[in-house]
Amino acid sequence: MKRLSSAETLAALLLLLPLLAVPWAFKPYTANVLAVYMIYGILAMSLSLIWGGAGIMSFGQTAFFGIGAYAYGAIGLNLINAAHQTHLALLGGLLAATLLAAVVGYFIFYGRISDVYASIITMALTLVLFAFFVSTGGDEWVIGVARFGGFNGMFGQGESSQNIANYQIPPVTIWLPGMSEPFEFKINRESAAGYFLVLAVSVGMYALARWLLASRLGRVAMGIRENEARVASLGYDTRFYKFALFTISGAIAGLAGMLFAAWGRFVNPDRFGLGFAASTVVYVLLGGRTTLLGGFVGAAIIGYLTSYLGEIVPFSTIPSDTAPWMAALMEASRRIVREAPLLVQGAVLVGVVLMLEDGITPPLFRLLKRHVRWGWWVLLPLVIFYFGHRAACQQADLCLF
Amino acid sequence: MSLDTVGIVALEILNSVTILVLLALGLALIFGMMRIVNLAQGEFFTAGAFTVLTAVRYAHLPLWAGMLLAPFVVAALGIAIERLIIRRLYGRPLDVMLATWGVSLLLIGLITVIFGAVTQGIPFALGNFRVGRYSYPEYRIVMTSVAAGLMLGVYLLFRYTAFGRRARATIANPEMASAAGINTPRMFMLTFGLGAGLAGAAGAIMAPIVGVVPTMGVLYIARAFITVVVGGPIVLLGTLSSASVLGVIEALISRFSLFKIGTAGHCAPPPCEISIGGSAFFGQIALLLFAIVLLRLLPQGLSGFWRQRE
Repeated sequence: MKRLSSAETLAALLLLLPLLAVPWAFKPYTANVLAVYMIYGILAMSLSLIWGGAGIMSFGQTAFFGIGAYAYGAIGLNLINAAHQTHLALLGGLLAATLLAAVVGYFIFYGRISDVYASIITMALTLVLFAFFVSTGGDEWVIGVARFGGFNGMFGQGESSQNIANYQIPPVTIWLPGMSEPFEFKINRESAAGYFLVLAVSVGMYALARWLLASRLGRVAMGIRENEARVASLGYDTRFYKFALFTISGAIAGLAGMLFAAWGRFVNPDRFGLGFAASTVVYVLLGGRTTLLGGFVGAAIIGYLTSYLGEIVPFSTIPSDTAPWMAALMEASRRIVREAPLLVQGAVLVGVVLMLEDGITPPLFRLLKRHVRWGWWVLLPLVIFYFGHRAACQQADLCLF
Repeated sequence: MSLDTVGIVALEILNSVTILVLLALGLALIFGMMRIVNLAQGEFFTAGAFTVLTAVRYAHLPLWAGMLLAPFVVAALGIAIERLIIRRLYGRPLDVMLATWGVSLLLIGLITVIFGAVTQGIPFALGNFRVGRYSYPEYRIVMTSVAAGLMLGVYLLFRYTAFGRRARATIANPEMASAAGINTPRMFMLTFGLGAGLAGAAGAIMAPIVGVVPTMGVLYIARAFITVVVGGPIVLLGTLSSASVLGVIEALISRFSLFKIGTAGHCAPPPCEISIGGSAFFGQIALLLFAIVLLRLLPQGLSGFWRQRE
């Protein structure tokens, strides 16, 4: 991890520069999609922090993500009409996720539950929370005006039950003293503030995680990953270090969840589902569990791949005069494409574990490190040129590439 | 509380214990003997149920024939997966977990591709019997007998047969067992196949009372893992004891409402109240909370605690 850190910094900067230019170079749709990839990237990075850092595989990051999202939604919905801002919702969501992570972490690490058991407990936690939030469909599941809504997800509820005027979870909204009106972080034609908020949080969390791993906490955690007994024999309370790192990574996951709820203005129990938990692990595994950037890279690749596959509809109509075996083949390929996200995730999990243990970013970083000048002098101007071109051609609709 | 209520609660506890034993037995075998966390176990369960469905719906076999077939089909599937994937990953417990999770997602995807994402039922002919004012399905008694039979079968297999002796020797000391002429990779393969087959049997026996759907394994896997983790290192005794403790908790919390919390919503018949306890998912939540607290006190699980005391 240490050896590649300079290459990782370079790669992070190479990724950051174009991302800064996206709102000018592309349509709001692209910024919207990239924002959610970055949100998933923050979630995945929180997993690689605890997994790559301390060697603890947590299936529970999505639980903290979901709790953060639900808490932000519940508080934000109540707050937005009364105070026209969501400051307390941001605080509450972060607090809820941190608290859950701390409680679970306390029982796991101070109970000296072994690594594999810890993974199972975090997975059971996610599944039970899924069952819980699915069953909150009834009228009685409500906090103030925020209805949990069971599988349909969280909505705000109007005054009268006869005339239910539903409204959505608010975007991140700030209204500091001295501002004439509240400011909403949205992504649309007029404003890319929501995109830059997500980008800023991504950069901030990435920097925080890099700093954590380089700090005393991170170095002890890496020692625990390599040989826990030896670290303990040197006088470190390994339980505390694992607990601390786990809680921090849970808080980061919760932060990502809040951004998600504010981005989509919606949250439903799918965030606790096995599919989402799996995709988070897949992002990290594909991107590389030993690098913090890997989560972002994996999220972007898998996110793009699944949304691309989701758009394909092969043989939308099967003509009635097709031979039966041909029709069966066409029907089968339709079904396979429909199940593609699951099949891709499963194949990546098995494939990466069997063949590419470290994921794709470490080899790329090694390449970049070997040709570091090439990286600076060739890649950077190319990136700048491309984005400059995109930004300039947008208005005139004359984009060459 | 009248006598028939006591009777029906006792039967529900028995049913909870039965389901937990059925779910956890194969998993406990694979985890206890091979130290492998097999996240594809839920899909072995699903595969068992779909074998029954295929046999009854498409091959027009009688129900019992489908149920007898299921463990063998699923065991074959398990052996194939062991040979293709898990064999390459022995000694890397975390990677086995991830790879079996991949297998689990692939199996869910494949079963959905073949059968579609719809819930299908399997008809069966047993009725209910009466306990005072309540009626109770006879089929649940059949399930309890099958669960007891499976546990006894596994015990006899590992205690008294040549296969059982070789398997236990392999688990205790693979190098020594290998030196003594036991084909250890074969033993691992067969043990994994047996664990898969037990999950298949559980899926088959539970298929008529649950909706058969490709994602059904996910609903049960959390409970199965909680049971195994609470049970600890001794396979049969651990599974039975933890299923008994957890089954009591699950059945009681599922049935009885502990207290109510009023909320400020707009309910059709006011007032709005959330009843804590009294439904199936509170039973599951109680299961998880109990397991986490118990593991804080007894990190080795129930049977590990007893082993320490001896």
